[in-house]
Amino acid sequence: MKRAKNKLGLIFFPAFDWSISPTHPEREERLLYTKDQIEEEGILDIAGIEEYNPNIATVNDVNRTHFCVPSTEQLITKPHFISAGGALKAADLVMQNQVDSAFAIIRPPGHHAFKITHGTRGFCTINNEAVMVDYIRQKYGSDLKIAVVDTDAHHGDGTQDIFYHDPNVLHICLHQDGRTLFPGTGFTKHLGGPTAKGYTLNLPLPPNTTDQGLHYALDNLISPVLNDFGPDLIINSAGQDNHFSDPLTNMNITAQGYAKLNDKLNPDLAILQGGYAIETSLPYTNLGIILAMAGLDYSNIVEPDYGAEIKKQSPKITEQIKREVDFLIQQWQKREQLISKQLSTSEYQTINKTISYDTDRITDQQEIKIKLCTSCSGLQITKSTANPVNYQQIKAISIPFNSCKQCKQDGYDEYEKTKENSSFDFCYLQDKSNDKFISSKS
Amino acid sequence: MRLGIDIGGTHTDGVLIADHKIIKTTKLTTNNNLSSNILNTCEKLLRDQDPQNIKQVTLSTTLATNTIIENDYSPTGLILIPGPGLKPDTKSFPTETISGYINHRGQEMEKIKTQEVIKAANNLINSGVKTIAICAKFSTRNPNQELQVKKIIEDNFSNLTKITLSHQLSAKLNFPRRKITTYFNSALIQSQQEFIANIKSGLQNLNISAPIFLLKADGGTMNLKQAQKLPVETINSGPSASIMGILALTEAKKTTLGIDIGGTTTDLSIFIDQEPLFKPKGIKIANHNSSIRGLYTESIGCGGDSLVQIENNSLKIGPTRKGPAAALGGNYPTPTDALIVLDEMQLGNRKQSFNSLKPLAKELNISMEALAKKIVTKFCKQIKRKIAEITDKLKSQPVYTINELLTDYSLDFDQIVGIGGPAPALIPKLSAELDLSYTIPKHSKTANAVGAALARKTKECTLYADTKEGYYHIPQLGVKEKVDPNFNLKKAKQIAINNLKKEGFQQQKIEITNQQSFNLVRGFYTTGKILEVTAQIKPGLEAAICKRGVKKYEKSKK
Repeated sequence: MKRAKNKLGLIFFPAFDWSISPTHPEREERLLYTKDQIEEEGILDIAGIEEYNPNIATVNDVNRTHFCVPSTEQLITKPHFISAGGALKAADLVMQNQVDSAFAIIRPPGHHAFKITHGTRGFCTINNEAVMVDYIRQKYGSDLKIAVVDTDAHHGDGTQDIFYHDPNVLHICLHQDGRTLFPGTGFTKHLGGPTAKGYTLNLPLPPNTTDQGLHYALDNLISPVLNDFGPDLIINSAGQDNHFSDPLTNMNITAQGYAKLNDKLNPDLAILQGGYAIETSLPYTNLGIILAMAGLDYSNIVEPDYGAEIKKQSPKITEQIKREVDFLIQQWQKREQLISKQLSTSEYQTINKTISYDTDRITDQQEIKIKLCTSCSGLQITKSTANPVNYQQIKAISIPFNSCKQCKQDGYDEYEKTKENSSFDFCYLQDKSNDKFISSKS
Repeated sequence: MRLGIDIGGTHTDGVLIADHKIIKTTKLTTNNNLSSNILNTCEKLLRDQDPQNIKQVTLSTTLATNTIIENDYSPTGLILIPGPGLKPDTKSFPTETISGYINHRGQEMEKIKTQEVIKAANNLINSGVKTIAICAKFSTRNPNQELQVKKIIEDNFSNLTKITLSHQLSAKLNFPRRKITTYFNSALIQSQQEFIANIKSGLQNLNISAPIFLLKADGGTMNLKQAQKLPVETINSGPSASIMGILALTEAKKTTLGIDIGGTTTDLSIFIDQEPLFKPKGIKIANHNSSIRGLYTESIGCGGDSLVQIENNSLKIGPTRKGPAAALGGNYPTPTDALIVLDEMQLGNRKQSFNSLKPLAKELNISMEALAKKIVTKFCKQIKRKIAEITDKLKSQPVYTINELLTDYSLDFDQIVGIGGPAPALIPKLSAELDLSYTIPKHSKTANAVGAALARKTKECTLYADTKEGYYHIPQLGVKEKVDPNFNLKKAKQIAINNLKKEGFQQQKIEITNQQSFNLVRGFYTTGKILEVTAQIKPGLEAAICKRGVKKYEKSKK
């Protein structure tokens, strides 16, 4: 019998009875051929690869990370709790040392879901991996240093939003250039909030980037930054829509490229995100990631439309990636400087943001006030006005895991004050340091 | 009248059943000659009967299992068409891999090359192989390449005849399991054919002209014509005879746990509403995972004859067996001896049981009675632990739909059925430990032969349709037909059922055990459907046995 070198936990949950709509890319059929491939290869008979059912995430698990408007109970349906629960199960398996690493092949994906969520955008409603990261910190230690490496073709804007002000979560995001693809963000200049500058690293890749460009970024940006950061956990936000056959993107990554990435990155956890070439890519890329994570030979995986020319990358693309990687490395190296420069300016910094929901056609105007605190990541107070929805303005107050006494006090004061204020339909307080969530309706 | 025989490692049991009653049973010591065991048993059973009254003979044999364990099968070679993906293991058996590639939709992505096939067959023949097994990845979605390879070999090598193709053995996706199954099927054909010829002529000599059936791993039977082609399905027929025996002798209503306490092992089985549970992916053949449909059974290396010893100052039972109980002339203490000492079992020489346990009592510095009780408690605890383990495992079986995940599959047993020699002494204690009512059927000692005698024919087929590709096929039955875009689940089910009817089954016994339908959407339009339907005649009894005389013990109210 075949035996895996590394013990791998597989949470495979194709949700064969759920779709966003019958012909939507996020439909019943999405993981059908991946299931066929996994079964036909006999992957689940390999000693050391164990399959598990997802857990079902709770309302508390969601509230620890998100502000769902009007409430988690009203906005979030079972498929989302289960998909997030798949990530939580993967985390438990790894944190309790039942496996060396775990891969959650779950749907729907999550990385476009923001901290405040009014509905579904980019096929995502709640952010599976962010919910998982906060769950890990709540359950296994709030001081754990976690690195999220997002390799989906779309910018992981939701994950960025959630951890933008958190220096304990390093978010490295590779994606097709936002000028050419949804959600249109993720540029090198966005490096994190004032208390966490440098801990968000965005590398936009030009369309038609190949394995060569991906692995250049891995060897010259991701690996050295991870070495410096010294994370307790590495998470691969494993979108597979960079594949050359994906219908929604314009990238040229192969199954071998993905497998080798996971081989080198050696993530503790991989969470499936996008990927919609359900026949020509997903069966092969998922298989590649599974074999690489289990330490098995993946060299014989070749997708049907593969040809050697797919790996050729124009010198112009190579040049551009190199320039961007150089810039990001410089920013990373002077991150301490950048942070202290910001913190000396004033008490609060205000950021204005417009978030558009492609799936649910909502626009959200946010004003985020972040406290420039020198002793913690800082209190965050966000005003959000979404349209069209049947409520007016809301306020969301978030106290970070490593909160100082003052920020915590200020957060609760702000909540008490806002509760009475009729210009906010809802007010929420999320206290990560005490795993507490309260809300009020005016 | 039905005649059933179960050939076990130590005993060959026979039974005659007429009018829902067991009218005669025999027990002979098994010898090395399989056919003679069967014929001797028949002879003994029929001493005062007219052989012409026998309407059916069913055999549960160890032939396949023993032939594999003893490496006594035809030298066999594998020709694999693995395509891209996981590299196949080519070291365990003589193996040649050739090009060719079918994908998950059954589309041919790369053709096979005739010269490669001939070269592969030549290599295998040169290494001493006498028979060939062919297995292609995704052949259950499109068997063409397996069929082509077979044709090329038959055209070029007239001496290679007993070729097995993987898609004919299982409709399930699992290339490594199909490979093992196909390999062993080819390997067993020769010995199975010889055995069948022997049995046929032997029974003819005894003037028995009834049709003969062999018991399969799934608790069903098949006729000799099928058995010659599919010998691998008769593997594990011993455990399946025992499970069908429990079904025949008791009322396995609601959720029943079957416990067969043998000499070396205790085997657990599960019944839900009178139906035995299956191993979902297939059973094991000599430590290899196969795709053979088989009944669910879990073994614990802890039986009536298990060795009892002291290790690190505490008792250890099994998994080794060093002969029979001391009471029956063995040299070592066993759980059976403990039961004899406690006077809960009357068997052999009680004094020898005492003597065998004495050194252990001395070493642990406790009385003989305390020791014997300790052994029995430990025995029950070991079985109880295994039961907890298997229920945990069954409860957490992976599911792929939200509906199934949200359904609470509680697996709570309602009762125990115990068979095997020590069952009357041990099952009451186990039932107290598990807080369950129990039954010990009257003919528990020949339950296996009863199970064989009464088992009915089983068969399964899976229809896979892809309306965009424009066809459906049933690989196991070699059926492939065109479909139009309106093909749907209802039609698919009817076709699967009709095809099983053609195999000689009545419609009312055919059940649909799996049905799936997926819309194929390309470019935001539905362009077709993928459908999968499995029709099955589940294992069951051809006739019932009168249950009078079965004692049932309700659990005490707490």
